[in-house]
Amino acid sequence: MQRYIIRRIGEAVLALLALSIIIFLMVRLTGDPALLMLPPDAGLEALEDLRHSMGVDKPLVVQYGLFIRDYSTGSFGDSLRSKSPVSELIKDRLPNSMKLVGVAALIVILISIPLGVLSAVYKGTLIDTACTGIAVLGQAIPVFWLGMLLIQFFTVSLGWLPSSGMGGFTHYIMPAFSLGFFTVAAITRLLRSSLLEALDSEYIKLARIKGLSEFIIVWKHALRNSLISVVTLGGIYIAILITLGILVEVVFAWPGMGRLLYQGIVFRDFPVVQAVVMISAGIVITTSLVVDIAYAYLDPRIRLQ
Amino acid sequence: MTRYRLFRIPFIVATLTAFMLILASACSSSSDSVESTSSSASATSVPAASATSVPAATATSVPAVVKPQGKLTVALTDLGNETPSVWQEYAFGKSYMRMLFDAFNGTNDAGEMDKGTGASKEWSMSEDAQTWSFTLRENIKFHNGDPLTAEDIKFSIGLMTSEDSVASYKTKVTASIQDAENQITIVSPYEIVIKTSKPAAYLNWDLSDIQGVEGLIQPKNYTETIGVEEFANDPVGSGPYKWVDQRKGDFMEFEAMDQHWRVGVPKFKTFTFRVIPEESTRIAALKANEVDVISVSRERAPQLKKDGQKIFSKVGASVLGLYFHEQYLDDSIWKDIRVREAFNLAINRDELCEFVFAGQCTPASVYPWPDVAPGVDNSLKALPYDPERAKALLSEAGYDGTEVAIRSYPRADVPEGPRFIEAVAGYLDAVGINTKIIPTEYASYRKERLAHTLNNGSGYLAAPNRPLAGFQGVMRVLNHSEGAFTSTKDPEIDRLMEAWEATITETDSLAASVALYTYMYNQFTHLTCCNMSISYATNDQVESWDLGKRVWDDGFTNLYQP
Repeated sequence: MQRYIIRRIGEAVLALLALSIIIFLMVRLTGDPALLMLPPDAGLEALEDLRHSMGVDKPLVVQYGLFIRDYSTGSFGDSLRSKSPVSELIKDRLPNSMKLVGVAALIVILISIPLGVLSAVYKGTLIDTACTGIAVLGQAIPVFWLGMLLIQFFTVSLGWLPSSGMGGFTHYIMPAFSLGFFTVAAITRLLRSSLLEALDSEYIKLARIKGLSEFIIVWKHALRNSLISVVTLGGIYIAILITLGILVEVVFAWPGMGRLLYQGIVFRDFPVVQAVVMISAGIVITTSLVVDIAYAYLDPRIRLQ
Repeated sequence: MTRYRLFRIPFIVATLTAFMLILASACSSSSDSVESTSSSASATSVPAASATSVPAATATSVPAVVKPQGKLTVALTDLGNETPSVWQEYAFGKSYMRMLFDAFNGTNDAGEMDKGTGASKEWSMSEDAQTWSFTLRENIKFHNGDPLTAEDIKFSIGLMTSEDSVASYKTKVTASIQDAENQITIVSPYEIVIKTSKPAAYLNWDLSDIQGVEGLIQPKNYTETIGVEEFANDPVGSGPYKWVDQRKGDFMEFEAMDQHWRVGVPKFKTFTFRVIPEESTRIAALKANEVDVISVSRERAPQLKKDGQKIFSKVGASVLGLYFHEQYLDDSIWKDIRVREAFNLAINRDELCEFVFAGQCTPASVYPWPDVAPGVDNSLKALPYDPERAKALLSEAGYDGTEVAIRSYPRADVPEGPRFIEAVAGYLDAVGINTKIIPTEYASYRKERLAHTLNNGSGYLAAPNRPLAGFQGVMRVLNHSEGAFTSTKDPEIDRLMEAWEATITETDSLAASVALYTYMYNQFTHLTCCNMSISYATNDQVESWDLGKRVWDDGFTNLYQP
């Protein structure tokens, strides 16, 4: 077991390292940030000064070395645009994103599980069609478009909800729903298929023969087993929520990591882009690592393999 | 199947109830000042103007004290660094910075220096333009009660010119002030002398609020007490509004001083800036009365006007034109003035303004001057659309069908860019010019410009309006033979420019600018297109609004001016 955990941690570190090289090179492929940051009429001297002050005139290997040094000390360097530490910017924004993702995750759980159960239990009926239809819609509708529709309807037409910004309870509803709807669809579909499989299994038949109520059979016995696959996928989808958050945060003017990344891309602020992507990737890799280790504890076959 | 119906309804009810409860508990702790922002409609329903205009005598026999009332919320796409400190903020943040801080040297909405609007009430320059003397007014206090003195001026210039400073136009100041500590002398608490390392005829401009935030003053004592880095978290200025609260990327809130030496009684008690990057969301927020003023694209402005919103525009905020790159090369088609003129006659500026820019601009005469800029000759009108004459000129010049490669790329200030280039290429094709559109991005185009590898190539830019000194500076970079981006290399342009740079008085400078303007008009040095506008949409909270002529600041002062 110990060897398994060490091997998985090693793989996670390697994945992060590989990712760091890819991100480092990709942001630099997009061009020289100094060319964008200077006014159109700034001369060569100003350009060279700025490139020097930003450190982008150094060889790539040196820049990568500095990048690794910064990250190994827990610093993410300084923003090229604001010249303030990226860690400060992230400290401001990360909690906001996590709050939104948290509420979105709650929405996902509270909508997708009932929908998945209803869909499976009423397989082939109108309810099943409706639930599956909602799931298909969730995956088909672009997140930003859904956000704009919600704003148009609930803010402009009805005047019930605020259009944007961060604040009280009502500020969360539309962005969290937009963010969660895509995932609702995926989880609903997954839960439906795994629950159908469970409801068709021998132990459920036995439970019915024993005279247990359908409520107990579905919610206690069948659902519990079906949720294993959902929980596995859920970890990955939490990370997807963070990524989707870029669009949602821009549409709803939510001051989170997604907006920070968006601004970083627009202004070619390498350190900001690198840090946000690395943190998001770190969350995905850590989630995956935790799920794998938990699996190993729960399922002896994995750790024995 | 019927057995499932028994638990269906309770299940749905229970689920929905749990959902609402969890949502409520997750979010209820987050209520904060944005809540009050979003209720601006009710708060702002009392017109502040009426409150300030009611004669005090009619209310009671004792003269009532007029105070700021209500609130105004402005939503913009960007507020710079959102770091309110003179060395940590870009020009993009000037809109809010001018509320918080006063300028060393004042300017007015016409884009001129104004001794009535800044901390210095008098200034003079020595004959060699290397020694500047300033006298400060003595009635300015910071929000913490400290008086604004020469120490604060020297301290602020030192911060702004420091190595870590991000001030957008810092290099204009550091060209003449490299060592603030030794070049700035405090003669008395309200007198200051600056010795520049080279002639600086526009130092008062460079240390004003006409362009970026370079001329704004922050308090020395307070900054040193709280710490230079910490200052931005709890800034203190001497402007008409004081700092209340901020959430980066979301909002900034200010509260009016009861009385300000420059503004008087600010109109609104609370002034909030919000950052809403997506235009559709800004429009929705305006329509729902969550905000009172939004920045709006040229494309959406006409529809909003039809919908009943007020539209205020700054016409001539910039001028749009295409470059005839490397026109000085022997194999450039643009070496022949007739070809340059033909290009200018081939495009229909009125149609471009109407159909590409939704009627939100006007035909322009000479790039890079908008027609409203200082130092232009307004008798020179935009060239007419005359395709037949264009064809004749091309024929006379012996144009042989050489391909003209036009770079096309989007820019934040001209989102219509690619569409505009397609339209221009269409007009040029119609008179027989062989054009090719090359989709690219701005940074790549800029790299090619710097390398001067764009023979018979073109690209567009919108040059912002700026003060006279700004034009003088930009012309050297764009058109002098030694300029990094020059497309002309014309000895006569060099001569006119150098004559302009040698002027000391504003009158001479204006005349020299007009001479260069006229020459470039007659030489068709660029394919000048349109005077662009910047637009804002407002609700009824804003009755009138002069957006002024300052760069990077669209006259927000006039929103709260009583």
